[in-house]
Amino acid sequence: MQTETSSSALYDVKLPSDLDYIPPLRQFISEIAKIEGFPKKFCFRTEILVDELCSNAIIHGSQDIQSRVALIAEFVKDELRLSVQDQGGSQPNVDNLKRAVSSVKPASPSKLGKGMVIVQMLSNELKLKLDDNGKTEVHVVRRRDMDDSPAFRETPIPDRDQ
Amino acid sequence: MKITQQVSPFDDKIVLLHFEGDLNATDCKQTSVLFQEIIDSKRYFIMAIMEQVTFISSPFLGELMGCKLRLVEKGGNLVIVGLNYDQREKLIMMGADHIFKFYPDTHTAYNQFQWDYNDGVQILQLTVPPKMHVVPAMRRLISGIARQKGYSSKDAFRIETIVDEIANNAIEHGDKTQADIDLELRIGKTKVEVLIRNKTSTEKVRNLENAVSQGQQAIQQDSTRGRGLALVKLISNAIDVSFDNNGTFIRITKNRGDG
Repeated sequence: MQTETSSSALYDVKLPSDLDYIPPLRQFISEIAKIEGFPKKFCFRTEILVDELCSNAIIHGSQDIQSRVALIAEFVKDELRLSVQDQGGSQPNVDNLKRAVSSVKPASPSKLGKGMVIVQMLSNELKLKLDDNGKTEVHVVRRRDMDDSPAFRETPIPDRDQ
Repeated sequence: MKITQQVSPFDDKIVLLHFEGDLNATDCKQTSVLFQEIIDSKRYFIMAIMEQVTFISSPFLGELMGCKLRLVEKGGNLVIVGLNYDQREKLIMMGADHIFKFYPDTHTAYNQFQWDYNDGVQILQLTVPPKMHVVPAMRRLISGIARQKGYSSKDAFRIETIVDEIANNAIEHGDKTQADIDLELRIGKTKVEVLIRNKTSTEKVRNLENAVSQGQQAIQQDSTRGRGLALVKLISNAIDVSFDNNGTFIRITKNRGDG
């Protein structure tokens, strides 16, 4: 495993595509963030982020029984770089994800598609990578001071019907 | 009602039945006949996909209970997948959740099927920096997964103790230059295996092998150290230690509900 700098810490988790793993996993990442010196609010919001990204990967990713999800959390100085990769879902699901990442509007007018809006609100950077084998990777950067910025506090929650 | 059937692409023992529209009393006979045909084809596991269902009448629910009973008698099962919130609430109010398992999607239902009937083993791999203060989070992650998968609090606590001990050992006795340690959890319905790999010196591997082979005796000695592995040996069912160019490898097996 490569680490970028001596002050960075990298945590790599590969899990079965199974919703049962999410509660302990999100608590693990939150606890690690606390260990790495991030404030309580940051840790709690990171927990929400992990829950959303992993739930999406499991529910909308590959439906193969053997499919897996990979989560990498890298703590570098004052930021968390989080990456969640799944083995690729159906084309409509991938299209929805693309739309959700590129827009603050929910991907669909139904109750689905709100998760990525929350992810956008809780992250400084959000990128989607699709590789040739169909794997989907969502990469998020979250900075320590994000929760304290006025911009974050004033971000409106989009209307459900927009 | 519209109903279509399909043999699962993942496991030919499973039949997927896609229901659509209102499921009324008049649909009971057709459904019963269809279930019997499936049973006669020696397929006893059915997933009723109900994403497109708009209403389930009481007589139809009763018919489904009868169909489930016929499958259970053959060693199979009937589960309900994708039912919308309103319909599920109505069924729960009628007590159907005591009879049927509800799953949000087929993927989750397949996972449970693998777990219940195919002796499926799920694997979690974890790579972390070799820092002592990471261990509590690691052990809580692993015990949390055990609880989520239905292991008792006692089992989960013992698994947590095992992870704590071997992870601490891997960091404390590992090579100071090692970039990370690897932990793998293999969890099945009847047992858990915890595997940990780190880099360490040959001498320390010999000490470790001795500690594992002595077990209980180590506790009785005057030394204040070396009790951890003896404790792990007491609460686990098997310990294997091996060594290769990539480092030390410890595998601990803990059976479910054992002791």
